[in-house]
Amino acid sequence: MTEMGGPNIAIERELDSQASLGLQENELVRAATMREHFISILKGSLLTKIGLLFVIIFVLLAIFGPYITPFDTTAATSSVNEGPSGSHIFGTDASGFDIFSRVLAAPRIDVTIAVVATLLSLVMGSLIGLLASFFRGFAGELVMRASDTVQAFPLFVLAIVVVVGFGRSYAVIVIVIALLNVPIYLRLIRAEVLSLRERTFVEAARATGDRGVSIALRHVLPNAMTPGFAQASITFGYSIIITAGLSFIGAGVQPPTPEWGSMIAAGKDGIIIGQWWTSVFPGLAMSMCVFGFAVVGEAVQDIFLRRT
Amino acid sequence: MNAATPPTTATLPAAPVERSPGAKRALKILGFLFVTDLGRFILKRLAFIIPQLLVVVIGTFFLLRWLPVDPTSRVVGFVATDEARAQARATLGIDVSQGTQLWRYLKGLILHFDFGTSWNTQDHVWNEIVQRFPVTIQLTVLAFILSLLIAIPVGRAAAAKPGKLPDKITLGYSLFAGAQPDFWWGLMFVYVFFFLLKWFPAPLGQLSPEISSPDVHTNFTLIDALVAGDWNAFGDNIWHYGLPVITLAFVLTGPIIKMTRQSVLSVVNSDYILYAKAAGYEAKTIRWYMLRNSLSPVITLSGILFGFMLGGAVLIETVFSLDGLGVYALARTLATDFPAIQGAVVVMTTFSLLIYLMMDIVYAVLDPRVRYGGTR
Repeated sequence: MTEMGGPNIAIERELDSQASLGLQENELVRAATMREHFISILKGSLLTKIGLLFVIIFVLLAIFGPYITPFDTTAATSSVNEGPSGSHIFGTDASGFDIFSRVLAAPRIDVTIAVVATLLSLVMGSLIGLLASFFRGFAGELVMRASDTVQAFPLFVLAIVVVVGFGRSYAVIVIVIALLNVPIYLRLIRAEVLSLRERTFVEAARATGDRGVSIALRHVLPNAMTPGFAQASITFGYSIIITAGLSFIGAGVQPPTPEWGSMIAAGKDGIIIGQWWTSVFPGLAMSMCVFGFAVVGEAVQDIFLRRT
Repeated sequence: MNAATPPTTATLPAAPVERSPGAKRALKILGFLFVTDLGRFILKRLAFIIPQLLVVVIGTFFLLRWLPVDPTSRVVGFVATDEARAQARATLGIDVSQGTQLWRYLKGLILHFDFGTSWNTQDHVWNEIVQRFPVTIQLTVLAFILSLLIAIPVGRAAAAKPGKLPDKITLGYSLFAGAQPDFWWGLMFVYVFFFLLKWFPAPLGQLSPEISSPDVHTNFTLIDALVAGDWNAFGDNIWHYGLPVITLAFVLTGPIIKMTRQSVLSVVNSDYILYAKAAGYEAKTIRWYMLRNSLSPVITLSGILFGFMLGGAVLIETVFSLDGLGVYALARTLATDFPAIQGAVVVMTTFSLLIYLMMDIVYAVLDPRVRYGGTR
């Protein structure tokens, strides 16, 4: 379980900040529409296209997955621990569940938790980051130091403690994962706001009589969100890994609910005696999903860096 | 000051002060800390650590008590008389107010370095941690050494010819590996390298059953084997750490390669390198500048990654049945053993903070701007 997006993007921005200084302000401020972003992702490399395809597949599975499974995902079939065959193309696990059906149904849990958690952390991180940067001085400093200290905690262990303590419900998992990601957005948005607040268009808004909060919400925040969106795709993959990781060690979603992490755990002991299929297929699906989102995140980030 | 009083000390001839070598060394260190920029920077960072640690201890303490769990039910069960429950609360030391509990805990921790007694095993938490943390440290540190040894040369090689095929392959790999579930890859490596190829041992602990473990000095099996001169155990231990370390390195090299490549590129194309070349600096000097400046972001990233790795180690420890601090924290969480969880979290966080401190110092040595009031 590693977190690549957070530190990466912040340092990358630092590296690229020198290059951005010479650019025209209006070019920087021009808001690219969703459609523009989408088209430029489509124009990207083959890798980006594959990534986008994966993302679309898994989002569709999150919506329709549970309806298209060939077998009931939580009912045992007559075959137990059987390798892939014609009737069970991914085989069956020790409980007799059809693995293919469960792999298809799992995105409903994993992808949904990750999407909701990511959106929640984006919103919370942006608002706190905005506050921390607009109200300078002691309060802002305090928020940043607190966020520093939180990052020194073994966050995954804290996640285990809180999720287990609150009874492993989906809501708790979502909130915990969202809180884990807040410091990244906080840092990202704050850095962006600090550079934006000195710009001419903020000054112009102030000159026309706009007040602090209104400037912050209407002028600065929309412009500061772009790195946040680029980060969201990366956070998303990370959130799936945490969700599955928690379930893998028994501290998250509990079986028999179809979920990639607990499915991989179900095959853990079989691996040493050669029963590979129980763990391989759910992990493969998860690996593809996470990879897809990482690639798309990278593409969005490239657009963002090119633009600034 | 009374101007009429004759200055007494100034009129005396300055007597040569005899100082012991120890005092000289201490003065030298103090002089370094208080006079040089780097020294002041280190002092400032050290001053931050103490309040941070306090926040960590108090934060964890209240986080645990805020959870809607009843620790006594582990002792007396869910159906118990009120007396039995009160008895259990007294035994666990939670019959007093939370403020008193915290005060007792802090007093024990600060005065006697006492992390309390486990509610589960009645052992001293510190003794339990000392046995397990070395496993986690050995795992993560070996993984980091391997990752840096691979990632930095590969990242620099990729940056040498940007846009060419090797660069593209490297970028693709780092993008892929950087966002992968390490616990699943661990299982895949077990299947291929243990079950199919038999290159590595079964994922069952630190040593083969037939190898007797060396006498315990440090709890780092590798170091203990070295101290005992037991090369058999040393080799066996390395062999057992092989797959978990490779698994972690597989994931870790991704972001480090990417960062190295990017940072080398930005340094190579920077104005100051152009200036240094134009000014006719020696190639050796320029290479040193390039290396120094390109490593700084890599060091920062490594520090942050290390903290994450430490927290996430429980997954790899679970896959390879290593009895580390992560697995300990998980087991004690499931058992509602507050002192043990608290101890594990505090020790891990302290270690992370010390790693950050170390990285910051290395960073400050490499990059003079950091020393002059710059923030990270």
